[in-house]
Amino acid sequence: MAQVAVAHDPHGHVADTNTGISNRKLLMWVFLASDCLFFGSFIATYLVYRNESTIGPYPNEVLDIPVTSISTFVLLMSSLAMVLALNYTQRNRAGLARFWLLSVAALGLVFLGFQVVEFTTFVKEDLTIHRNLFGTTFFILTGFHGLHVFLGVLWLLGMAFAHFKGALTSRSSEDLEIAGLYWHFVDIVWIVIFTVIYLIGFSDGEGLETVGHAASAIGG
Amino acid sequence: MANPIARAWRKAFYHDGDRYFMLPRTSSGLPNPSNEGPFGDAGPPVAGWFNRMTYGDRPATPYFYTIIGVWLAALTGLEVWLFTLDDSFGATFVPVMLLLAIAKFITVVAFYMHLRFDKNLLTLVFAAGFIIAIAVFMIMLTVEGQVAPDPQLPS
Repeated sequence: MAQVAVAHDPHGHVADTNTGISNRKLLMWVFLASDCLFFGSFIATYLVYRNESTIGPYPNEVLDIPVTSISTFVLLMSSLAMVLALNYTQRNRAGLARFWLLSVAALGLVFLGFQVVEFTTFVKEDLTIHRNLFGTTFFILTGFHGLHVFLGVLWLLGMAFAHFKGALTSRSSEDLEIAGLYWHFVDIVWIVIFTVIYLIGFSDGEGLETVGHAASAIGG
Repeated sequence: MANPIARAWRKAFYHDGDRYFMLPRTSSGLPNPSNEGPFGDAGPPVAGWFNRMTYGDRPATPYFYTIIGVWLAALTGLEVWLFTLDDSFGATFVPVMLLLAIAKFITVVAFYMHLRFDKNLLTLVFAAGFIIAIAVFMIMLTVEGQVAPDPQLPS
């Protein structure tokens, strides 16, 4: 006979399952583990084709570290806001919980705004998804991350709506905890992207002449 | 315990409250064990002070999470500052950057995602996916150039 554990999680919930863990929460962790593979593959592809572009623009010509540092800070702070929203929900502090929940969505939108500006700037500098291997791998990796952020913002706005309707309380805070797991995962993926692609990869292309820019200069 | 397999099963799937960040053994019957603070009840006096400061009726208080947020922001600031000193670092630049990223990664996963406070099974599930992802990454780097043709120069 299967032994059923009735265990308390750190938040005081009781999950009446074989593992003592809520099945939905376990499912989210399995999904996040699979998403590691998703982003791991894209990051690996970026690194495999690193410095393989035969024409520019190259990373050192287009990446804007100060601006991306700010957007990274914004995403990190959204993670703080997320965990505060969950904590206050568990403590039945509805007003503070809603404030922080809406803050997460707002910070997520700010991050997406930074990404839109960055992509637009890149396109103006002739870096498109078709331009070279850097463009292809960069746009696919950061684009899919941006898509994750966008879906997360929609999810969180739905959670905020539920909060205002009174459907999200300390007893049902697991809904918000699961959304929070997704959001924090998006954050840790960006931690890796920021370090590997922006900070470490910034020097890629140094000493190379951008063919596109040179041609434009000659043509102009 | 009947046998090692059953013991390993229980260790992986049931709440013991230990074996992760050196948490002391805790009864699963306690809804909020007092030693489930950030450092358990182990460590030097400062750890006890930190626990009292951060422990409320939940695993951690908003104050604690704010401290973690400041820590993450400081690490990011340090990364960017070191980036400006890239030339003086030389070969150690990449390892230092990766170590800082790993520190931020573990901090978010352990505290914001609550793996530090949660059951071991969740850590195992996530670690499995992460390790497989790293394996894929290593394999791709290993076969680089063998399966991917070199890009052709534009005609």
